[in-house]
Amino acid sequence: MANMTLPEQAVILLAEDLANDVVLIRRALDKAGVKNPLLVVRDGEECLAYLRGVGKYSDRREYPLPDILLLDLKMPKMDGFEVLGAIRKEKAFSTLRVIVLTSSEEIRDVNRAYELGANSFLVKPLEFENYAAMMRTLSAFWLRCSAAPKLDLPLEAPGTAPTSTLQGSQPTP
Amino acid sequence: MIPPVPPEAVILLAEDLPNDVFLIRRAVANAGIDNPFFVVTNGEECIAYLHGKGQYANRDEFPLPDLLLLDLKMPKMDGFEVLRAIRSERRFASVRIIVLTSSQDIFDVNKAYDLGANSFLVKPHDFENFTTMMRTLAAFWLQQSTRASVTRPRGKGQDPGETAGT
Repeated sequence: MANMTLPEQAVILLAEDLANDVVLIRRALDKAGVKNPLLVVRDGEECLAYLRGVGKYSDRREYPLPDILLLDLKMPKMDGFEVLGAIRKEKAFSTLRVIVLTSSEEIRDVNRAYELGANSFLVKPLEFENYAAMMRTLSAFWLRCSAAPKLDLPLEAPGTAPTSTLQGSQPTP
Repeated sequence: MIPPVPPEAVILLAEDLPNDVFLIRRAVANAGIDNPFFVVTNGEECIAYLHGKGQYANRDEFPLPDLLLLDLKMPKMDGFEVLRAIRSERRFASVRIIVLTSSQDIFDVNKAYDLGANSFLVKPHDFENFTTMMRTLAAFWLQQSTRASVTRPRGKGQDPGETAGT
C-alpha cells in the first residue's frame, strides 16, 4: 500500500482514567497483535499536557506526538469533550486523529463528539473477545490502511509543489 | 428505550472518473458491502445531493449519506472545497467523510484532515488491494464505529436524534 511503510511504529496515546479499562485495552491490543507503542494519560488535563509537551512530557523522544489518540469521554478534571474542543482549537493539533472510545452509547454523545471534530467514535465492548476484534479492526484501518497526517509539518506547502512523501514512506534514493 | 433497528448506512461516492467509479463499485461488491450506494460525479453535484436540491430533492430516493467517499481532484468544485462547505454547516457534522484519492501528497493529507475529513485513503494501484481496502473500511466504519444520527425527515421511520447504528 502506498502509505506508511512502518505502521507498527505509529504511537498510540490512550486517555483513560479507569485502571481496569487501561488493562483491558492493553490486553485487547496485545491479543489483536498490535505491538505499537502505547502511552497512557489518566485525565483530560494530562492529555493536553502530553500533546503540548509541557511539564513532565517535555521530552518528545520519551513522549512522542501520537499518530492516534484514543479518548475516553468521562474523565476527571477535564472530560473528553473538553479535550476534543481544546485540541481542535489549536492549529498544531488540527490534523490529529482522535478516536473516541467510551462506554457511552448515548446518541447525544456520539453527535457531540463528531461535531467537536472526533474522527471516529467507538463504544467499549462488554466482552473481551469483541474488544480484541475492535482493536484488530482499528489497527487494520487506522494504522495500515488510512494515510496519516504529519503533525510537525506546516499545513500549506511552502511555495512550489511539494515533493514530500507520506509519513513513514521511504524516499527513493 | 430500545431504539428501532437502524436503517442501513448509506454510502455516497463523489468521483468524476468513470473508470474509478466502476473500480470502486466492483471492489465494494467484492468486499461484500451491500449498503445503499450512490454516486455523484463532481463537487457541485455532491453539495446539491447533500442539500437535496434539483434532481436530488426526493430524500426517499436520495437519502442523506452516513459515509461520504470523497475524491479530491474533481471538476467544478474540488474535494477540499466540498469538505470546507460541508464542515461549515452544522447539520452535516455527522456525515463521516473519507477522502479517497490518488494523491499521496502529505500536504493534501494534512489539508484534508485540517478541513475536517474523518479519514484519508490513497487509491491502491491494483484491484485486489482495492477490495481489501473496502473490506477494511467496511469492517471499521460500518461495523465497529458508531454513526451519528443523520437527519432523514422522510426516512424509514427513523426519529432523527434518537437512534444510532453501529
